[in-house]
Amino acid sequence: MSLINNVTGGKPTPCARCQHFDTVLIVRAEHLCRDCFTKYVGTKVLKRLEANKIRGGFKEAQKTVLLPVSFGASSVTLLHILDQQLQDRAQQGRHCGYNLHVLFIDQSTVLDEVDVRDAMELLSQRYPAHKYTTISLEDCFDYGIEFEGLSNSGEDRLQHIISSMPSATSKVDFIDIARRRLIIAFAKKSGNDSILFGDSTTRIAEKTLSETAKGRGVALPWLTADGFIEGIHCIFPMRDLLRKEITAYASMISPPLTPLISGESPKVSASSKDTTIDGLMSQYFESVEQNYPSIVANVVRTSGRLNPLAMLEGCRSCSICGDGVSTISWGGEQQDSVISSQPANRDGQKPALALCYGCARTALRPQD
Amino acid sequence: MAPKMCALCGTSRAFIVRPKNQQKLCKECFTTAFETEIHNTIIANSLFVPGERVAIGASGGKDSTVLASVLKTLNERYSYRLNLVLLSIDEGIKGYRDDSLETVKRNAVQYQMPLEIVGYDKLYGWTMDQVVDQIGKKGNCTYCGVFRRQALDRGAAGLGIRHVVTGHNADDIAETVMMNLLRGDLPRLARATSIVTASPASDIKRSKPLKYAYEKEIVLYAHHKRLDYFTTECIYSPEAFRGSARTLIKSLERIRPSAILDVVRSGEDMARLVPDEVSGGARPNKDILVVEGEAEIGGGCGSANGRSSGGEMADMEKQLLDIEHAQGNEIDIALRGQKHDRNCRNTNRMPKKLHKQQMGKCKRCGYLSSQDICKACMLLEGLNKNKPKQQIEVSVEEADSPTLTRRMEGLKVIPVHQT
Repeated sequence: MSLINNVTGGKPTPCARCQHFDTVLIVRAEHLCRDCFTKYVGTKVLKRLEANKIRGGFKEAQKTVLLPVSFGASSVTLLHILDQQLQDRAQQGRHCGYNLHVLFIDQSTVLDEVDVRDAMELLSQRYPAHKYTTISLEDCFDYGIEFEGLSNSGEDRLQHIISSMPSATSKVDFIDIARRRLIIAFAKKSGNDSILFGDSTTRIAEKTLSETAKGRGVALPWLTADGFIEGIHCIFPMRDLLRKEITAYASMISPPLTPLISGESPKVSASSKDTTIDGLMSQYFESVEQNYPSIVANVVRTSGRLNPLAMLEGCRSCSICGDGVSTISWGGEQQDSVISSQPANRDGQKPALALCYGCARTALRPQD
Repeated sequence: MAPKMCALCGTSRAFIVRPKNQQKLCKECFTTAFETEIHNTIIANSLFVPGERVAIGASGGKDSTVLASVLKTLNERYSYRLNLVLLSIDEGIKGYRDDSLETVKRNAVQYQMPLEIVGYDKLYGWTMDQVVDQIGKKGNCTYCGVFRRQALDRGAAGLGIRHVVTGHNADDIAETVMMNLLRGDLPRLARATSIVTASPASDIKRSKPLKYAYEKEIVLYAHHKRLDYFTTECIYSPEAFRGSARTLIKSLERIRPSAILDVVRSGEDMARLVPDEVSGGARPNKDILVVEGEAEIGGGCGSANGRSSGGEMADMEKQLLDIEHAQGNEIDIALRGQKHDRNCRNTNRMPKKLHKQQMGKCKRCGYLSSQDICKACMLLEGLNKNKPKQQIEVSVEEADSPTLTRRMEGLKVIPVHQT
């Protein structure tokens, strides 16, 4: 019912907001023209920024805000909207509250990704006012992320860890965690006090369910809601926009953003061996988004209402995700469970391995 | 190739790959491990006290049959000194419940346990078949779930028993966690995973000893112990949300078998993250959580297998859209002259007031409820309103009309709590 349908045939319905132009799509059961839809998307983003105090206050020192891009529709659209806001302000001679630092994490060495060097070039040509940096996921060791107990000291440390992961789900999960930690570490090192993540409503809903499925429910507030992590303000300005709305926006504005967007098609795999938990959730929400977009939004609101847990004092940090490792035993773990029998010395691993529940599931192989 | 030996005893041939962790075990070690894990759960949570009388909610299905069998075994092996009784609900579904009740009757003989059967017709004046005739196949699970919860409590109270155990397994709980996330139901998310549900306002304690047991392992156990259980699923269709969540859980299990347990773990952790004002307040005892007259967790009414009408989801979608539009139409009215403070560090919004549940007693039947009138009585009112005229006349004329009987029973059976 609230599908974005291209209205075809018949007499065009006027836009429900301006009553002037013809409807080009139906957004959440409302007929909108192109202009009003563009405004709708922009407002949703700026409202989130405003709510998080990212704005052009006179008395505030100018901040540099980190914007990690993946070249998916969502992060590119976010850059576009912010660039426009900054340009508008500059034209009106108004103070800008922030500068943008665009970061791309190159994962081509660990994932089959197309080379995006050109894409970065294109992006900086279209939005030249900002600073651009590309770093490789393998640089994480230079930023003090150690994965203690898992990595060797060789050049291919990261490759080594990833290839030791027991399943496709675990590989993807580990890479996600490494990327996120690297982004935060980079922000710290570069003196950025805020990070703007490009996750859409749909993506956050996917994350909510997939992290739950991976036994990481406890971390949901940190992973899906605006808040401070290690002193860095992590914000999700696209959280009120569905993926299909963002995709429509990217192709509708002029010139379209589509040439800047590469990949990020949902990874659908035919064989169940390669299916990942994240992939399953993408598929699931793709269908839910079609028919029940408000339910997707509702999942996000729900996880957003969970309170973050206070960091456990004096406990060890997880070797993979860096969160605290709870030492309280859990009723669901029985004596023969994977978790309670973490290997002390397998593949030359140091016994120093400390893993939280979710990371233990990811890194350890079920018993033979 | 040499036969693979059991990973635990090392002397017998491995016959079973445990669905939970892929461990290869012989039959004996599997049954022992399965039983021991349930024993551990019981001990770790101090579910029982010696000498306690416990009613097993028995449907004749695999979960409750395995629960009865395992509890009998453990009770003898570890001298729990429990007095176990089978308690069955007759929803009045022809071709489903009448057959499964026969199974329960055989179980009662096999396990030498007394059996009590409580019928919806007696308690509510309606069988599920009649309910479905009236309201159709859509949404009837709500009625059945709400009615069953009260029926079990009333049945137990009638027997003077204050503890009911149910056969909810890890799959059911995982499913409920996912379902509550999809429905955005935080209060239920907060309590769905707790192994014991009890409330100061209710005399009947509920617990789920099979909480960490995989459905697949329950089936395996029943198979190897040659237990007598009933396999047909409920003939009426399940709610769309549950169906959707169930399909999701099954797919997750295929990808990563531990996922079911992992979802349960996440659910327990998330329960701690639900704001107190939603969950009904943190209590010193982690097990004490409010319960309402509703089906907290499915099970007992068969599996959904992904069949779903989708009607329930469409309804919710519409509701959510309406709310969104209503909010869009709101106009911010600010006092004149009051400007936004640029130094303001906080957002301008007032913190949202979250709905708080307060438990009391239903004014009609005395059952525990967060509203004046409990859910079962509300549903009954709706049903009775639309009852064909002739039937109303009959029940009005007869002094012992089923509805009236139910009210009287309610007064008689549920002891009034003075608080």
